[in-house]
Amino acid sequence: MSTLKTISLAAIVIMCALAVSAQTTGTITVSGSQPAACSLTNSSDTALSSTIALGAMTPAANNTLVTGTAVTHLRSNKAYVVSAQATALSFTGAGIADGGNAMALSDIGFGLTAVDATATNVASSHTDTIASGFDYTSGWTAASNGLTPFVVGTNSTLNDVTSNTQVLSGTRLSKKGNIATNNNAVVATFGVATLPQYFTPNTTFSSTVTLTMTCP
Amino acid sequence: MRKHSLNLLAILALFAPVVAGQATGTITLSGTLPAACSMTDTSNNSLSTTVALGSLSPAANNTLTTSTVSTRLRSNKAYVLSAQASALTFTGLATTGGGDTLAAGDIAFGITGLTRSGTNVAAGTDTIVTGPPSFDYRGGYPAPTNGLTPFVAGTNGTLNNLASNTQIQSGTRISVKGNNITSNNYVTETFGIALLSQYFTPNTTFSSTITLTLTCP
Repeated sequence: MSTLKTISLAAIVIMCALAVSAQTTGTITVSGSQPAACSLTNSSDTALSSTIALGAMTPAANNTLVTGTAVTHLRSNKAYVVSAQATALSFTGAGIADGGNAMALSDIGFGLTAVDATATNVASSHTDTIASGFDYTSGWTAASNGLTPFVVGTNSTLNDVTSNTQVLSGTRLSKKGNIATNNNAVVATFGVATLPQYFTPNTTFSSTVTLTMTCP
Repeated sequence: MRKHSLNLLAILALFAPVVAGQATGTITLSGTLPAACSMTDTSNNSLSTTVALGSLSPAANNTLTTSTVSTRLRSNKAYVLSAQASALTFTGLATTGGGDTLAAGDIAFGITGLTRSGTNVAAGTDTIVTGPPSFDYRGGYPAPTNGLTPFVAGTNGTLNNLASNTQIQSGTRISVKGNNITSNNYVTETFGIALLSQYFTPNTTFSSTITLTLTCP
C-alpha cells in the first residue's frame, strides 16, 4: 500500500496588465509654413506678358497723346514694392536721321494711371504709394505745340526706368485667398503715352518694361 | 497514563487528512481581461506622427493641400474615439497689416477612410460623427471656390471644432481576438487634413497637435 501524500496548493496566477487598457492616445502634429508671398499678374490672373501696340503714329495737327494701358493684379501677404526697368528703344527699318530727332525713351510717358484697392479681401487700411513722377492717376501731362509734354525730373518716362526703379509700394495687399480669388487684389493700371511727331521714320520701335514685385 | 493516551489521539487526528485513502487539491487560476483598446500607427507602434505640409505659397487654383495619417484601432468592446487640437502656434509671424492669419477654422480635419475587415475583426459598425459639424470626409473635401477656405463653420469639421476633447467616431467591438501584433484584428482608420494655401500672414512655421483618444467605456 502506497502512501498517498496530498499537497494542498493554492496557486494564484496574476495576470499582468496588458500594454493596452481601456484608453489609449496618439498624436498627430500638423505643421507647415506660410512664406512671404506676392504676385503680379494680368487681369486674368495669369503671368503678365502684355504688348501695348501703339500702331502707326502719324503726326497730326493736335496735342492728343496716343496712350495705352496694361492692367495688373497685385497680391501680397506683406508690404510690397513694384519696380520697373525698360530696355533701350530698338528700331527696325529706321530712316536716316538727316538732322532730325529719333524717338527717345523720354518721349514716352510711363507710370500708374489707376490704383484700385477697394476689393473686399484687400487688407484693411491698405495704402499704396506711387513713386514721385510716376503718378498719372490724374491724367497725362497735356501736350502743347505738338511737342512731347513730359518734363525731365517731373513727369516720368521710360527714360527714368533704364535701371530697375521703384514705381509703387504699399502695405500688405491681401487679407487671404490666393491668386484665383477675385476680390483680394489691388488693380494697378500702368500706362504709356506719347505724342506722334515728325520723329525719324521707322518700321517698328519697341521697348520692353519689366515689372518686378517684391515683398522684402 | 490516561493523559498520554489523550495526547496521542490528538496527534493522530491531526495527521488523518494526509494519510487517508483519497485526497483532493485545488489550483485556482485567476486574473482579469480588462476592457482594452488601442490605437497605433500602421507599424503597430504608438501613434506620434507629424504631418509636414511644407511651405504653403498661394497659387492660382482651388487645389487643397492635403495629407493623411493611417492608424489601426483594436478593442474588445465598444469604443469611442475623440480628438482635441491644440491652439495654432506660430513662429516668425509677421505683422498682420490688416490681413488675416491662418486659423484653426481654415484647416479641415476628419476621417477620410475607414475599413472594418479582416479575419479577426468582429462584425459590427463604426459611426463617424456627422454632426454638424461632420468629420466624415470619406466622400472628399468641399471644393474651394474663388481661392478661399471652403470649410463652412458648423458644417465641415475643422481643427476649430476640436478646441476641447470631442467625439468624432464610435463603434462596436473591433477585435475578435489577438493582440497588437495581430495582422487581421483591427479597423484601419485614415485621418485627413486639408487646407488651401492663401495670402495669410507669413510665418516661419505653424503647428497644432491633435490628440486622439480611444476609450472603451
